[in-house]
Amino acid sequence: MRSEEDFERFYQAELLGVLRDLEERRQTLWARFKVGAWVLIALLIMALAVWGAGGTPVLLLVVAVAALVAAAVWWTLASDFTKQFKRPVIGAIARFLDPSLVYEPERCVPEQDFVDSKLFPHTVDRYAGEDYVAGRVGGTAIRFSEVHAQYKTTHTDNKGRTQTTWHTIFRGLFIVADFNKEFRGVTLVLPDVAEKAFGWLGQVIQGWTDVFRGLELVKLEDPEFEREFVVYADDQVGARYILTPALMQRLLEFKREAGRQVFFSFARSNVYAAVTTGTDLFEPRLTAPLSDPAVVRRYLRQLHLGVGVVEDLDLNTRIWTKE
Amino acid sequence: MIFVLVGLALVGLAFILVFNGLVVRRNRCETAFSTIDVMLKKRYDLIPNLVATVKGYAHHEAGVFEEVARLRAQAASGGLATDQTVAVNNQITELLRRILVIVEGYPELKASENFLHLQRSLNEIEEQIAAARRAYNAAVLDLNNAVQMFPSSLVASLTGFGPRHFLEAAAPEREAPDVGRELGSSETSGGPP
Repeated sequence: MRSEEDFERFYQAELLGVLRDLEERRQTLWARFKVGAWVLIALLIMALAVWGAGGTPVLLLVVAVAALVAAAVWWTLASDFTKQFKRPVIGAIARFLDPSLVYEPERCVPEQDFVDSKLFPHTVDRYAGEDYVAGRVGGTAIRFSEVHAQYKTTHTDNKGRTQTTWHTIFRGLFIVADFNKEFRGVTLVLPDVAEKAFGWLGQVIQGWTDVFRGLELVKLEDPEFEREFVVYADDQVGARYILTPALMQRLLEFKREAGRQVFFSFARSNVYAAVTTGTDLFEPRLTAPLSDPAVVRRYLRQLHLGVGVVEDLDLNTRIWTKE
Repeated sequence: MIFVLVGLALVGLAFILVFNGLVVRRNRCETAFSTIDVMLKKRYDLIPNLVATVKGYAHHEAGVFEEVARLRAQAASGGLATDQTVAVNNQITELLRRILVIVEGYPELKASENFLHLQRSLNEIEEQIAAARRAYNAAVLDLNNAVQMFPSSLVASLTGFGPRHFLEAAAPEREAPDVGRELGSSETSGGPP
């Protein structure tokens, strides 16, 4: 992690100018939005007054159409602004965290990575994402982005109408990093719902569920880790080769820092981390000033959640046969 | 009469289920132990190479090399009881640590490609041995729980199942060596040396 002075220098030198520019644009945009909203409200009141005085209600319809058009224009302008904002600002913050990091606002982690992690066994019907960051931090290759994976169910009612419903499998930050040890097989570290709720009985239930995933339950020594996570793997020794006591503590620490539900998977010589996020990350807020260091710090924190995997899991320690 | 028969059948069935559960757990311990054996054999294979590499530099430490070679031959020949295997391998771990301390005195050797490769392999095997030991201990814990908890403890005592010992890691070196890595411990904390 870079120091506070580094951040200050970087902020002054590289970001402030860009942010001032963008802030001007944001203010204009926001002012236009407010004017538009007031005009619409005024029109609505007038239309209601005409209707109330026994006039035609057609004017109300006109106002409704005008509101729809305004919303469409507003949406286009806002997404244009987001585009202008993301590449220079988020890209620069990513480079500040590590010069090797490249930011692609419209790309995401490939679906194959998501499937390879084996974290979410459901078949994916719709896969999308944005804000892709990739690079090599120290000796460790890393890539991450926001991901939204869904599956669909179709339901036909007795009149023959089909209705499709989309369900979220995972939504949040999906991180893939090269693991520092060579291994075979799959080890999953999932949030422990059963044991937290039911104690030792939960562990018994977990013992039954391993049949579903075709993996074995792995019981580890660290009681704190066992309270937070449940581990499934296809090889008991392999799982412990990966999950050393030190790494268990590090995974706990990562979860604590993220403050959210975290899933880890070790497969294909990679570590995958899926962090559920409630909000859309890396988006500019149109309602608040941009040229405020606190705002930039927020993006820095969001990016660090992804990049931090390398440091937090100590992936640059390469003292084993994998270089 | 029928109730008595059904009751007896149920008790018999429960007995069989519990007994089979105990057998499964015991077999898991056996498998886990044989995995440790496999890892230890991998380490035996590394030792001659390590000794040959370090010996060229540190002639006056011949005693350590002879000792580790002797123990390796003893362990690799097979035929040792479980306790003896553990004891001999703990001694080997101790000696390997000493060899790594010796290497500290020879920066040229420490930086050589050959030694670095050996060190990486050794780190990996030590980590695998630690993992196998932990897997064995988890299997033992599972077996011991079944042997000591009611009602499976009844079946266990009737059929001669007893609790097993856990495997401890070799005691860490007392005069803390300055090698970056603590071999034999299952920790991975700390950066490379």
